[in-house]
Amino acid sequence: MCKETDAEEARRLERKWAERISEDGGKKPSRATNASGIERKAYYSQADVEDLSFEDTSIPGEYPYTRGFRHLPYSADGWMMRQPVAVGLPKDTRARMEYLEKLGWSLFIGQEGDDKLLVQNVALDIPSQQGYDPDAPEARGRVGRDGMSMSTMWDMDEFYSGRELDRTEVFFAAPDNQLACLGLYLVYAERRGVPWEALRLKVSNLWYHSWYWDTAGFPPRQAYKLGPELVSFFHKRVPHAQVASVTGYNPGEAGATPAQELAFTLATGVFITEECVKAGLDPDEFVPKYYGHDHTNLDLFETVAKFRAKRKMWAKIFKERFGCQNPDSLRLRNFPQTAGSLLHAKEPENNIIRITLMALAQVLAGAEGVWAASYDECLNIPSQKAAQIALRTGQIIFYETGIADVIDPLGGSYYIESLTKSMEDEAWRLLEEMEKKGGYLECWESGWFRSELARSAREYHQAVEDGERVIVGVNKYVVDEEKHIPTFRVGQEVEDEAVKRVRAFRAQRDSAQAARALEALKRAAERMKTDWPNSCGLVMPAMIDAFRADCTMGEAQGVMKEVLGYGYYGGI
Amino acid sequence: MATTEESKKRLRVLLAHCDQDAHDRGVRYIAEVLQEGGMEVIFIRYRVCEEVVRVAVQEDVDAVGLSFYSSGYSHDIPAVLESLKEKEKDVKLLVGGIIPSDEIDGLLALGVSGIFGPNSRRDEVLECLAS
Repeated sequence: MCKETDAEEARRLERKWAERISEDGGKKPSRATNASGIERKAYYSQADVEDLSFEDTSIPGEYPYTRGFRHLPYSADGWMMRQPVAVGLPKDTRARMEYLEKLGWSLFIGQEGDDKLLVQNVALDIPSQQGYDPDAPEARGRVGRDGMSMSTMWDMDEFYSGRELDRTEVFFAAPDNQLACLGLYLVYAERRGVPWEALRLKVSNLWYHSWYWDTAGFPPRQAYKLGPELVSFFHKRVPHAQVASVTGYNPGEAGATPAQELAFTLATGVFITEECVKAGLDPDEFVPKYYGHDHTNLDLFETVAKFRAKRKMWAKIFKERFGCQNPDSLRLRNFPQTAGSLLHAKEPENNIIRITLMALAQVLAGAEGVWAASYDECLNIPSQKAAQIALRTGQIIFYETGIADVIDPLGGSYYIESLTKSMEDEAWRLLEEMEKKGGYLECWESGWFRSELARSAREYHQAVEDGERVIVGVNKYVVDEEKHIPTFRVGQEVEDEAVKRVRAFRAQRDSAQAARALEALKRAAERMKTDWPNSCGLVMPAMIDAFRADCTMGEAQGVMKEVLGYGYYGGI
Repeated sequence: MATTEESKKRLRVLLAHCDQDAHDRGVRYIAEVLQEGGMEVIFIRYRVCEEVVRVAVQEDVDAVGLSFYSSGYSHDIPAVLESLKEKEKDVKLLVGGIIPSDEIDGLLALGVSGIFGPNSRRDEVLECLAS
């Protein structure tokens, strides 16, 4: 990246600098490594980037995309606003969403007028995510509390009636239950007379997400089949659907260091693609429809370097390993989320500052989406005020700071370029280790992923407990504060209403027809279980038929669980 | 009168986590802390909270720890306490995770022995179990 003589001169100056600081009483920076275990020097120079090629660091928008996928900065076409909104019953979520829309919330920041698209990033409550209807014993105390309760066509109608489906990008954060959620949505669109070709969706194709913690999805040897099943259906039938999520957020929240997250995420992308290829799909047709969802750390530069390294590594892997020709296959658009695990219940308003810094990292890294969370996320789902501040965070960065006017503003920084390369090297090393251990599924089943994450999480917690890692107001400069922090909460009356509704819904439909549809779904799921990948493409249509017959999401997902089984990671 | 051997008996602790509740980082960390503190840990994921009481009785544990990241605590904690009482099972119930601060006093009054949030120290948890 620089002439040899420049590098020599830089090394000479670095020696001079070292002499100066040793004369200065030998003071040292407090942390000599970053969270990924990469050495952190106190200063960087040309000597640290002499091995980098111009290809890696020259023009934004060109392979290998280290500097981003765009040729122009955000001020040209904005970023996607990804904050989720969900609370209580569909009508409650809708009211919250319409309030935020009045404040400028749309799919792309800065987009106005007739072209404006809306976004619905809907987090379902935990029972709906897992496929329990509100009246299931498993749902007690949980309905509408952590997201929106949804189980029937009536819920869809309450949520969407009068809204333009073709101008709204829809996302249901309910990975284990994704086939049912989208099945219900497609049948709703059909009944409204909106063709599937006009719909915009992000498919939460994330069957592996629950393996990072212990929610019950499906067992690994069954769950992964949902990936190709969703990809094959949606890339053929819903052309504007983004078909699979390659997430780093989940490992990040489970404790992964940024370098581990990078490697685990890339391994996930490779695995999903290999399984789709085995099911007969062509990567250049569906990989362009993937999207990323990465974790954002408070170490701003480490986060920026991680996103930059990921773009480059993804492009190389999909070009070289899968032979992709379509440039969009080499560009994994990234919609990162600010880290929930780095927010704290003590002095919760300080989280606004933490979230702003994380959102800033997303912007400086050139992510395609910016997701600023709500500051009260560590207490409960967001209050309206907290959701408004989250929206404002992105808007202020976009409109008031000038950051959106230049693309990859940190590109060329000795530190950032050197750190990008170090993160990349560490991630390649981890990817090689996973290959040696037998590959992605094997690494899950053997517990390797979980033990790596547990070790990193433990190191972090111990550093916080020992005060080695400072969290202001939490383990340093702690003040006595009022004991009761007001917390936004959803009451029991929401559960009572949802229970009545789902029972009334079941009472008015043709039960025999619903039962037949569930039988057909069961047969399709059994084929998935026993005859894979030949049976790829059978379950999703049967799922859709179940909602045409007015089944509930709990009933449909119940059949899937009955056939495919429950998925736990074993051991502590 | 307790013999020396009995008083040295390792505490048996059941840690339970609802299988719908994401984010098990805290409860796994506590499991390690308790094991390192010389206790025996039984760890389960439950679908319905009735399973917790069943296992607590079967395994004859000295304490139960429930972990909540998301909702469910408002139903499960009173239900577990009541069912333990019905079965005359005298065990401590500890709770970890995200519990709104204005509900803590009410839960302690109901019979919960200790509530530990994300920034609690491991010593606090060990002391609560040993006391």
